[in-house]
Amino acid sequence: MAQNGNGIRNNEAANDSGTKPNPTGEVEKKVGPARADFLDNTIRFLSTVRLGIYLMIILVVVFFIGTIIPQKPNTAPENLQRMFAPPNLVMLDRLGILDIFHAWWFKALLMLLGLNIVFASLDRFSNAWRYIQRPAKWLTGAVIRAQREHAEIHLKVPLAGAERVVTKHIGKMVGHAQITERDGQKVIFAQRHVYARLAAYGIHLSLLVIFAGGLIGLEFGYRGQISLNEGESTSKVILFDASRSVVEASSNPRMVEREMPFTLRLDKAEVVFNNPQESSLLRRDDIQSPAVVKNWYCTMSLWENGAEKETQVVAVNQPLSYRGYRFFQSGFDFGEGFKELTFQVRTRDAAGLPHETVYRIRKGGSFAIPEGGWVAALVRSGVMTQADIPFAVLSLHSDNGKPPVQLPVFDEGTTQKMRQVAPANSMQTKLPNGTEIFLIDAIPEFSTTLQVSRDPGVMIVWAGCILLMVGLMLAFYYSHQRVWAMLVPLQEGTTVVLGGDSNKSRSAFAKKFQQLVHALEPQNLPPQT
Amino acid sequence: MSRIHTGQIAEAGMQPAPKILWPMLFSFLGMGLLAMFVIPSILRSGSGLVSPGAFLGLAIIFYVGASALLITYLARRSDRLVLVAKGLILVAFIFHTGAIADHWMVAKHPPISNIFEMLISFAWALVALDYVFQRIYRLKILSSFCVPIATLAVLLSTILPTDPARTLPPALQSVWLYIHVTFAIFSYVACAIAFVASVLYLVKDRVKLETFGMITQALSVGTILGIDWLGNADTAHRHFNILLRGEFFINLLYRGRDIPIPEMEKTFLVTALPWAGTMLRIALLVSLAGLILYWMKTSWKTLIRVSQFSFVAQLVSAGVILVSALSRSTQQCLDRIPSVVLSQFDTRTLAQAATVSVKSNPFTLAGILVALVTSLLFLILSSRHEAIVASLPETNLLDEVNYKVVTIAFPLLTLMIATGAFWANRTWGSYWNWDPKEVGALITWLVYAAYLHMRIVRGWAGRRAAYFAIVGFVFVLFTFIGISYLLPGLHAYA
Repeated sequence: MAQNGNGIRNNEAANDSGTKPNPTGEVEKKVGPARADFLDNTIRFLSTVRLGIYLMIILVVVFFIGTIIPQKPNTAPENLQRMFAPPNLVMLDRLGILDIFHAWWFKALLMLLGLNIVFASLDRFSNAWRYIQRPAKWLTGAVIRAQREHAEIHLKVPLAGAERVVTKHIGKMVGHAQITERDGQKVIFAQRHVYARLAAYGIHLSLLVIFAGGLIGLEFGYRGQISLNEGESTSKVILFDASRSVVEASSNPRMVEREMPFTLRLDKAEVVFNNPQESSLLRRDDIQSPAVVKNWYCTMSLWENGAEKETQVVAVNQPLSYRGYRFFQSGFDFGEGFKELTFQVRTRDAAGLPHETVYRIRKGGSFAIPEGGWVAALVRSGVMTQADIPFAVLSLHSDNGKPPVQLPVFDEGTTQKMRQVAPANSMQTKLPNGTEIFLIDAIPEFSTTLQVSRDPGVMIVWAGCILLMVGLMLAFYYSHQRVWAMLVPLQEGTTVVLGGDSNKSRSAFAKKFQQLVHALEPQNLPPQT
Repeated sequence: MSRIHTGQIAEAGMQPAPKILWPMLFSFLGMGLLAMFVIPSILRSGSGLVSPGAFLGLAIIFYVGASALLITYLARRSDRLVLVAKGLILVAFIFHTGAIADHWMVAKHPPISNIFEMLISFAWALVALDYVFQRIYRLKILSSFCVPIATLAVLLSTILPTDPARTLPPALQSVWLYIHVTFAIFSYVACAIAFVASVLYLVKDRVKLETFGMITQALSVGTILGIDWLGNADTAHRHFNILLRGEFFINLLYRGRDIPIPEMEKTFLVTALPWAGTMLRIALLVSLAGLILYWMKTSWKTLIRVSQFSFVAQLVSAGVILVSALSRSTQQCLDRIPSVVLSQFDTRTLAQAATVSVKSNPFTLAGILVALVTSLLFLILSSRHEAIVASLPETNLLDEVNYKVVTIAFPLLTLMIATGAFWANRTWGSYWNWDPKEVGALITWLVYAAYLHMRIVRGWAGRRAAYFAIVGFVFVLFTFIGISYLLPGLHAYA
């Protein structure tokens, strides 16, 4: 992308004929026989734009395949096994089609693209750099007249006056004007946005930077997850591992762990809903549905060598960062049992009148029911995995010496349903004396799954993105504009040979150049000059 | 640049004033018919006149009228036509803006969080940018394409399920959503404008009508086969059920939402529309015949005739599908739902609140709509080829617009990808997940990167650049709409 804009090569070459002493012939001299030849050809091949275009087309095709065919990292192994017959699956897996973006040949393609960018840029960079290092401040009159925009004006003032006027106007239009004298000929030269010449290299460099950031992330970073119940702490990360074959992954889930230099503790987990929930007994459907949940908040504390360093709240879109590690809310579930449970006990007193009492206990607690002399101790509580129903199991001792009764307790609605569905004796829903117990409120203990990522390359990637944007802005919206004016003294007055060019947006530049010519025409100049 | 063009306008002005009475009458008649359909449905919906649905319905009436006039403008260059069209666009745009504002207020977030919202915003931005580009390049002709595309987008949005009251899932509650999606919309709009400029370039450059005809026929064949292959959201009965058995997927919406039914049980919603199958078969055969005849280079007269037939066949089949799908009563559909599923609902409210809808088939309807409009444009082009070519701006200008717009689209695409990556990194801890939508965006980016390399380094301007920009836009559509409906991923909600 050394030349730019709507440009066609030949024009550009003609424009720069005055500034390019060595447009071709940059091929190194052949030293050795076949080997040097081979190296030479390889480098030449690597530096062609054609290779770049082919690579882009190949990448488009590969990406397309990668979007159409489900990929291992985003698809459950069972789904893949359902989708493809086993021999095909093995073959696709071996070819890397099921994990294209991590296949060795995909990395090789990217590497080749990187090399292509490097060599193609190196090949052309010297030309662009010459514009900056050695601007063509002096051109012969013939070359100035050969510029895309050119004009000749006769001024009725002597050389010195003409110089002042032209310098002033060129300075106004383009920028700071310099005067160079060679062979007794004075040329006024000005240019602007010369750095636009480097835009293409900036863009390509930024791509390399982004690649580099990605590679650093792959090499030195990792991704994994940790799962914690409220109150628990850990310093171990279970890594994601997408590199294994599909068959292996489903049959043998392998855990790879990494130790972090600090410990993470889940102090408190809570879920906040968009609208208040009707029932105080939460179900998994409620706490996990993105449609009703506003966000999940986990208060995490960070510990090093037994000392608490800091506390942060993690939520979706609100990750925790600590010492290069970042933690993202990714899964939320019930933990082990409920923290606090409220039971309603419905009995009949001696007169046969219904009698309701509410008992609240904490985890591991117990309560006494005077009617019948029961003592209820909590055995287990939680939300059933499959049926998604909150439950508690109570162990009830009576002072009458009979063996204790294990009673599953649900909310009233569920208990009614169970009585309808299940035959009367298969599951106990009442105590022998007819006492019924329902769960009416429960404060669950939650567990959270956090994704952990450690990516030292990410800042490099952002730097690359910013460079990329700057490069694109320069490439598309800034053009390198140059104007030359040669002053030829006449017997009466001075002839100004004006020439100028821009490496893109030529029509806009042409307009500007015409304005300059117009301003310099004698009738438009103030009389005193 | 402007000098060349003012010359042209003067020239056009010297020609005898073209007849515009009939096109005007037809457009207004069409708008009237549409209004007879839209307004009662607005009143029936009961949400009143101040609602996104009502605003959009009204906007559509005016957009359709304006589109008809602007397409006529291709063949009959009359400034009066444009003036009337501009008035209609203005009215439509006001309603459109109203719909967006209302949706925004109800949803409490800018309307860019799902495909429906993105489509109405896309159309809005397209109309706005079309106006801007007209101011810069004085290309009235650009509207003749941009406004119909915007109209299509709004029409498409109305057949998509929408729920303004939906609160955003936690992952989407981020300011980066708006930044990311705004870049996406504007870059896609720029790509659309480059596409339009490219098509105009090809017309002006006198690409043979046969080529356009062949592309149109191929598009029709591809659309019919494509909607049949992919059109049904139902995985078990995916292939060739429309064509072979006339089975069409219609859906019941319950309070504006899909009735949540397990994927496996969705087959009961398949309703046989026997005539739709037959009509589509005919349309397919005619288009196939057209494709073959174009390929064999038969006489022009035959070719035009077959193009007309295929247009009519498509029009009729689209009409049959719509009419017969919408004429199913709610009860007829409910009868097909197994009682196990129905038991989850209060059946009486369901029967009252559920509405028959073809919204579960946006892909099918979009495909048919696009094929229809393309066929229509081709017929207009072929009937007034000389007049249209003569009235188009110079190829140089169109080529420059093409390039300039791509130089706007490309940085925007880059920003879209970069902000998306940044947001993903904040939300999921990784800036790149090789999610289908991400890869799709990358494909689009690469295609336009290749375009720029070919143009800047290899001097590919003109026709080749135009074809390139058209291919680029196809990839944009694939990424924008195709991936969301056909492939699962992180962008599943968009």
